[in-house]
Amino acid sequence: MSEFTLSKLEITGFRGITARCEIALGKPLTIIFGQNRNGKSSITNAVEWCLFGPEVAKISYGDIRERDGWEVQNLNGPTCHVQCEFLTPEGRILTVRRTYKTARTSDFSYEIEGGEKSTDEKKLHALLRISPNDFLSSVHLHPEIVRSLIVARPKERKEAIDRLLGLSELRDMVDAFVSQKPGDWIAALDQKLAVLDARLTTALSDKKRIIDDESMDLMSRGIEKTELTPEGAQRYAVKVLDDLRGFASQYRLTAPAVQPPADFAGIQQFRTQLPTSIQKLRNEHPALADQGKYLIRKSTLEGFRSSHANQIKNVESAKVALTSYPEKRSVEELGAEVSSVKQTLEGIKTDIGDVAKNARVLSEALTFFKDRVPDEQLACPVCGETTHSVDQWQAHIQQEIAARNLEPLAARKQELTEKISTLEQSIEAKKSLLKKATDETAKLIASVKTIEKALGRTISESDDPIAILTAEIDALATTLSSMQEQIAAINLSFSGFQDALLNLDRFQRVGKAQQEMAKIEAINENDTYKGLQALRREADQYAEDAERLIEGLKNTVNKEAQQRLANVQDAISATFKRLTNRPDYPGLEVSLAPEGFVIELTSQSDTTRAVPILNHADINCAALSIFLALAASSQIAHRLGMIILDDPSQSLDIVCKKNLCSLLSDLCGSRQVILATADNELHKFADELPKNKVSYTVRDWTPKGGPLVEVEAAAEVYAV
Amino acid sequence: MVNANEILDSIRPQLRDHSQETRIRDLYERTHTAYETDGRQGIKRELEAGWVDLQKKFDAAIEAVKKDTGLF
Repeated sequence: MSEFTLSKLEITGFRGITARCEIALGKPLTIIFGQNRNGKSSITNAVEWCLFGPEVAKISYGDIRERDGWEVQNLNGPTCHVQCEFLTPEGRILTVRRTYKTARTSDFSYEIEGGEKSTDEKKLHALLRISPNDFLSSVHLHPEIVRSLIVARPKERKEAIDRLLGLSELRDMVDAFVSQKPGDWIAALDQKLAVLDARLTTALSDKKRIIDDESMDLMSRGIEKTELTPEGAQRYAVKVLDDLRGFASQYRLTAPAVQPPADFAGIQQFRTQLPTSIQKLRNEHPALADQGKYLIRKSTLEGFRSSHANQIKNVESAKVALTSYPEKRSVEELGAEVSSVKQTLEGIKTDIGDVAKNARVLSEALTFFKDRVPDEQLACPVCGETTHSVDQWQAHIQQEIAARNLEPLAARKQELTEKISTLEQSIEAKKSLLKKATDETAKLIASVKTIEKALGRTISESDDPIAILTAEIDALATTLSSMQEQIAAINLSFSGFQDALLNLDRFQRVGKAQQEMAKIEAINENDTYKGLQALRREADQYAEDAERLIEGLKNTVNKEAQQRLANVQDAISATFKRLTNRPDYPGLEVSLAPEGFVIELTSQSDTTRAVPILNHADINCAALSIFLALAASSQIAHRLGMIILDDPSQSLDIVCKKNLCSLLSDLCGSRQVILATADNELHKFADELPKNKVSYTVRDWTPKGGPLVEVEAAAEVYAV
Repeated sequence: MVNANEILDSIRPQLRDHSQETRIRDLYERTHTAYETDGRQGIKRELEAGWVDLQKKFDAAIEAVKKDTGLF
């Protein structure tokens, strides 16, 4: 064999395997026999995990489900470790090792006997020219993969056959190109161009509307239609400047320093300078200056007049308030009365003190005599009322004093106190009114002074400031009125200049819109736009290149597929014939069609689609035929000179099983065959093959102990 | 992997000129190298690199046209 073959496999703690298990595989045929769930698949799967690691668990292919949630590490075993030893075509040992770390990570290394150790997985895959996908479909034949070749969806069948033919990477590359959709790139650019074109169209229509509106406006202001050009605008600007100069000359003002525009573009600057020149003329004009001066004076005097009139009213109002106050006596008279009442009040207070003092003396005297005077009838000296004890007499006397002396005195005191308060309030009110009248009068005097200053003359007491002001204001009004005609004429001129400014704005807008329209209409001559179009062509070219490349890749892959199929077609058909011995359709043909690969049954006179008429066993036979024919073919792209068949005899009858063993026997000449089976008949037929082989039995699996793997027999067959 | 010549031979009648052939050869070699390094992502990245560059230039050119025409 000129390819890599598997010579030894060491497995520890991988899936169903717990303790270290070493399997020698150096023979052309290895048979691994054991009932289901005894660890056969763990042994065969260990090879792919060792070569590809966690990546194989991620592969979703056809109907294979056994890798969903793959538990790589056996929880009852030591750290998972798999080591494969391959014999290279040069006869050296290639050792590949992998140790489990996590579900997503592992430690990997390989070395070729006598060479350096490497941890570069891609390098190993490149050496063997194989990917995980290819391994699963063209080296390790799972029963599910076999079926997917025939019955799965066209895309999956195509992928399966591509892998068998070693074309999967090319197809993958083509798919990667196609998924980029170069056509869509151009559509996206065209969309942007369409948006730009729409904006240009809208802009054109906007410019046209501006030109129409502004032109209409200018014509309504007496501008001839023929003048609605950049040259016309320039002429208009010159005319405006001439008018300004004429105006300045008429009133002997300084001529505007602004220069006429040299061209249409110059109107912008001219338009900017013009308002300053107009304002300067306005400021310098004597009539306008006089008018301003008179207006200000008139307005000032009117203000004084109004203010003075108000002040006169304020003075009068203060005087009226003073004279109409109910208390007519002067502040001094009121003060004298307050003094008099206060004096009387002091006398009352003295009387009250004296009465209180006498009453106290009398009361003390009666208390003194109380125990010395026997109780008898006692008459009151004031009212004559009799009492029967000193105590009663004493109480009566106190009441009489209070009623006849103290209470009237207290009432009088209250009355005088209130009177003082009233008088004092009147004093304050009169003082305030007097002050107000004084203040307002002072303001009136100040107003007169202000008027005197404004008029520049003295106003005597006999003069009426209002009348004087009115005469002055009237005189100013007369002056202003006499200026009105002249001012109106001047203002009309200035108004005309302001209109001219607005017309210049309109001319500018028209001219600008005309220029922009011309620019848009000549867009194809625009260098930037030309650059954009060039980029569009470049993008077109790039997309076309990509499309062409995709087309070329597809052509090449299909051509390659056809060529490889043609080379194995006879072998496929012959294998099928040997496996099934069908009398109606002995042959099987795989051909390339637009939707993928077509698998048909053939007879000497007829061809028919395979799937509808084949039973389950024949479907397996058809799949096996394709796989085995391709596996035996020199077209196989990878360098692994072995195939692993896991339970290939499902649904096969005894004749087919025998035929399969016969085929495998032939295949052993060019490929190392590793056959895992639970099928007693297949095991028996395989065991009987006169080949160099080794046979293992896998049995008595327990969760903690794993399977018992025993070498059943090793047979050496020598050429005679 | 297939040789670039095989691909180009299969599409030669559709090619416009020699320069297109050169460009496609270059594109294939670049994408092929990228595929060998990063698989499908490599092709995506390589194709997009050229395209994104073109797109950027194109967008800039559109902005330049807008600015140049003074419309926007």
